[in-house]
Amino acid sequence: MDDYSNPPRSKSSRRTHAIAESEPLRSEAESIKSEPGDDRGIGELSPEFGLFRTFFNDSTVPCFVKDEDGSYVFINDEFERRFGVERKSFLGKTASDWLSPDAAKRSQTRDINILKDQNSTTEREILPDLDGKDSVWMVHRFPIFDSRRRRYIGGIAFDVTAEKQKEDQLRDKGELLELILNNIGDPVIAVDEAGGLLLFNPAAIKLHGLDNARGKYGLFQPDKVTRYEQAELPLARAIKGEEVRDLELFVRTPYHNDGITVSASAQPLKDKNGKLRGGAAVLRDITPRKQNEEALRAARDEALAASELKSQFVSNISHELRTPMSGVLGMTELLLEMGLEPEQKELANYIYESAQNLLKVVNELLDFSRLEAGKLYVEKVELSVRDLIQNTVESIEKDSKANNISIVTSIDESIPDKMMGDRLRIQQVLGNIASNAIKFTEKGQIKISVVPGRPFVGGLMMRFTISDTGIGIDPALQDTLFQPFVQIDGSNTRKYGGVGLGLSICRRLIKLMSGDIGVSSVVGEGSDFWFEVPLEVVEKTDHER
Amino acid sequence: MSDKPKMILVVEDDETLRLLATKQLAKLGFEGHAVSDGSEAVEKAAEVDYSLILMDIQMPRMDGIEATSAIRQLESSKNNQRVPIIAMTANPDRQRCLDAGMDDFIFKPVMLGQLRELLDRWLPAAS
Repeated sequence: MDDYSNPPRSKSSRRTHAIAESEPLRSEAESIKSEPGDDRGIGELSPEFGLFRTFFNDSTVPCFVKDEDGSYVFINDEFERRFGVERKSFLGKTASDWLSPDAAKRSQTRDINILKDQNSTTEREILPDLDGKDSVWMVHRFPIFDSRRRRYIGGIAFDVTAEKQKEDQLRDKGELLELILNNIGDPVIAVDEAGGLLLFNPAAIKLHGLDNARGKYGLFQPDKVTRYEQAELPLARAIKGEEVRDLELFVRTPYHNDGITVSASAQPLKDKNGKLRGGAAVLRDITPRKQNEEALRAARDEALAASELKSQFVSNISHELRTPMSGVLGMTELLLEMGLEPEQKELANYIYESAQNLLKVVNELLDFSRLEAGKLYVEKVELSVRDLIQNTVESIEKDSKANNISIVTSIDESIPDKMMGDRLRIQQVLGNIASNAIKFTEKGQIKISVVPGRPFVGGLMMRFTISDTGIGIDPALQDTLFQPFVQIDGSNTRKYGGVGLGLSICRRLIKLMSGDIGVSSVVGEGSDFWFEVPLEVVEKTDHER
Repeated sequence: MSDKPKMILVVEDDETLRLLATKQLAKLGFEGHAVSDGSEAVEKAAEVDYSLILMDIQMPRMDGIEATSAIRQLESSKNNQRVPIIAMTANPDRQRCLDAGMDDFIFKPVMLGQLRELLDRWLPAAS
């Protein structure tokens, strides 16, 4: 049993007076703390008092009683536990003995007021915890009088630290949200389910220019002319439960006389039960992006127009070149048949060949510019695969004989005699690849083969392959081969002529025919160029033009 | 009549090519008449009973398309026989030529072999 009947006291005269006055309570306090069986306590106390004592000490909140001088005359077990004090040494102390001077002063003032007004108070106080940490308490104070009308202050303290923290967090969160909404550059607007404004952040105010918006404010569709119906606007849609993403609006406001383009997203606001409570919209000024896009579009249009002009120019030039070329070629051909002297004939032959080479370049330029401009269209006419191969062989026969290169052809027997396709263009591709093959092959053979590929409704793919035993192509360069202007040997001293358009034209022509083209090659061993085009089968009953 | 060479009208604005075409035709055993634009061609076609017309497309004053339409109109109004009109061009707009009433194409530069092939196809008795 603790002995607290003589708590330490200061020796001041005031204290002495206080001791004398508090004596009866002290004896009560002593009795409260008496254990059952204590002969001194039990005999003096009523059963109600024992219950009261138990109630006090078992109470889960700290309780205290102070005398009118502010000295603690009673604290319960929970008070000891929570504030880390021992009843024995604590009783008789005042607030200033364990609180900061400010807190002690506040405590004293409260005590005085309570005794004066005889009113209870409930105040929030910060008190040092067991481990010295501040915790927040709601302290209920009330005046007590004993049977001799002596005055005391009773107190019950409730720990509200957790509530306070929650409150602080909520406040911080609220402040944070407000900070975000106030500082964010994008307008944020929220309305209740009836469309009444709940939130309109500064960016929204700035955008709308609310003060003198009447009559000038307008929301338009991306064409900048057609007004939105009220019900089509993002917020109106959101409060009907619809989610709106990145709707482009053109907004004309007093602050933006020229108008701005915004991207608007709106979301229905639903509470945790799923009930629609309103809608929120976020707008984003995308005017700079729009302007960039428009500038880009204008630049593109300009470039396209320039490209179109260039194509037209190349086409005109080609036509103008071809007229004199026709004269040179035709006249030379006639001249060659006029029984010229051998030397004359040799020279005339050179004219003829040079003119043909020039014509080839002109044709390539013309084809290329028409392909670039999308003005080359494929035709569907009757053709014979065998004729195509025969013509190709004839086109390189002279060179092959001159270089002692053999030409082998192989045409699958199952290929129909008459099919439909772009005869001239397929012939052109075959001729181009064959002339490359002969150009880059010094000895050996050139093999031209055709096999049917997979069928489709009304026809089948036809695969043409031209294999040579020439110089071959480095695998790294094979991909660039079909790009325009590329030549494997780009140097000024290159051995092989040509403008570098031939294979790129071939590829575009084949693609235009919905076919495919490619190459496989080993350096020093030769190249296999192949292409596949769809050819239609001619109905036997209806094959005449 | 059969020993007389068949007459062919050449419509071509370039002087060299006009001369070339008539020389080529002569070499192949035909008699070529050359005019330099579409309107002359329409006049000539109305006067002379040609076996075939070689028609350039791009020409000043009246182009080959227009001339062909005019000649076709004339033929049907007079109930004349339809003369084969062959487009002689570098870049054929095939459909436009066919729509105007042309029958076939020969591509520039026109070489002897191609011309012979074409005439064999359209005027078989001549060779």
